[in-house]
Amino acid sequence: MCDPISMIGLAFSIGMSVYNMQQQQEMANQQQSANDQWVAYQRRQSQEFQARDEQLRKNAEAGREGALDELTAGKQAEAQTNEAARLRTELTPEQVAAQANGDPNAIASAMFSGQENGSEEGKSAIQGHIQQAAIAARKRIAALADVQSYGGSQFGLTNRANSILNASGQDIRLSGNERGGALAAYNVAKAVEPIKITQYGGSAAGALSGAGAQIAGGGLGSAMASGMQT
Amino acid sequence: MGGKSGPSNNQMVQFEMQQAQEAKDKENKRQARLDQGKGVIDTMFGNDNFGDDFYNKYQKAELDYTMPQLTEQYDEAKRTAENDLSRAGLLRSGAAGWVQGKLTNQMGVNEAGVRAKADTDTAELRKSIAAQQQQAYNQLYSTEDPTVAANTAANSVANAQLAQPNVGALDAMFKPIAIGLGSAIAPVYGQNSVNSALNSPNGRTSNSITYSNST
Repeated sequence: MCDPISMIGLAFSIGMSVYNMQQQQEMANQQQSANDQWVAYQRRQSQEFQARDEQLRKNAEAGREGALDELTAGKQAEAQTNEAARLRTELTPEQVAAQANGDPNAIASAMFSGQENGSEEGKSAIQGHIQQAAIAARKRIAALADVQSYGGSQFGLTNRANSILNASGQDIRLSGNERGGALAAYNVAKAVEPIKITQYGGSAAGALSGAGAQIAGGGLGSAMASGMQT
Repeated sequence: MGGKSGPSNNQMVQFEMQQAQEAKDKENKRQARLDQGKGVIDTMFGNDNFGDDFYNKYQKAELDYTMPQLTEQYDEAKRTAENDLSRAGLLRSGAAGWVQGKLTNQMGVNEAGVRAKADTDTAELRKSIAAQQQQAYNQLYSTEDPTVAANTAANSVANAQLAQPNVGALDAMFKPIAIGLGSAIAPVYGQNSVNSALNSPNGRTSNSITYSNST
């Protein structure tokens, strides 16, 4: 009923189809494995990036919070008071401080020549004037120190705040820069695509299988045609 | 397929969905931190902490520095005027009242000027604190958004500066009134005013009175 060539062609076709299916399954397994590897890679990259990013953010946050802690009203008022105290000492001439404190030598140094020889009453009045003038000067210098301590002096409030904010700004900048770099690197990692498995042998096997089927089909067709003729 | 499954991207889709969820969670946390951070800064620089008391202290310090100088100048001008009026025999005259009125007027105007300066200087301090607050906000957003961190930090170098009051001595705040030397003070107050005031028995100026400018 069937000629041997057709049978061989049929068998060949079936064999090639089985081979083709095995190849496809192999390819599918390889693709699945590639996909799994891609997911694992991406997950690892993501976790590493998130951890790194969070650490850098915390660094920036620490700098920021440290600055805020130093800029509270209490800390600023304390810094201003300390700076005012420093300036009072720094700005008040020693002589004026001594005169204000009633140091007789310092007061005497401010008297005009000859006044030392005057009456005790007169001298006392003059010395009192000098001391009062020194006290008034010291009071005004203290007010000046207070004013200066808010801004322009070495450790004045504004300079201090600027210095603190600059330091934390640089910490944040460093972290931000590093975070930007880490993000850029992660974006490159994210762009990595999974391996695409291509079965180069598959088409050849398919063609051979098709050819076998064609041979088998041709033989069977001829056999059936001759059978119908009889 | 003989019962075996083909390649599936299900795990990849799951992974990407998980990534999307993580991104959403991360963003929610970020927004919560921003809200909380902004609240802290608002409170920190608010009136409860940097209230009027803080600024008034600065204003008082400036006035304590400048007002004694003004008062000193006023006392000196007054004493000089008293001496001059006394020498000219006009201490109990209407002219003395005119001079006193001038000095009082100048003192009032000068004191207002000094107080106005202290007030605007205090406003500068308020601006300086507000600039600190602004920088704190900038740093908060920079911390939470690395893409703006570099720019903001670079800009923060341009710091707020407190415009300090003039700590030098005040200029002469009182115009000299040379009693008995009509021509000397004429350029300052006007010849007619001076002549009228110094010649008037009650110190009031009158256009009908003339005065010879010969000294």
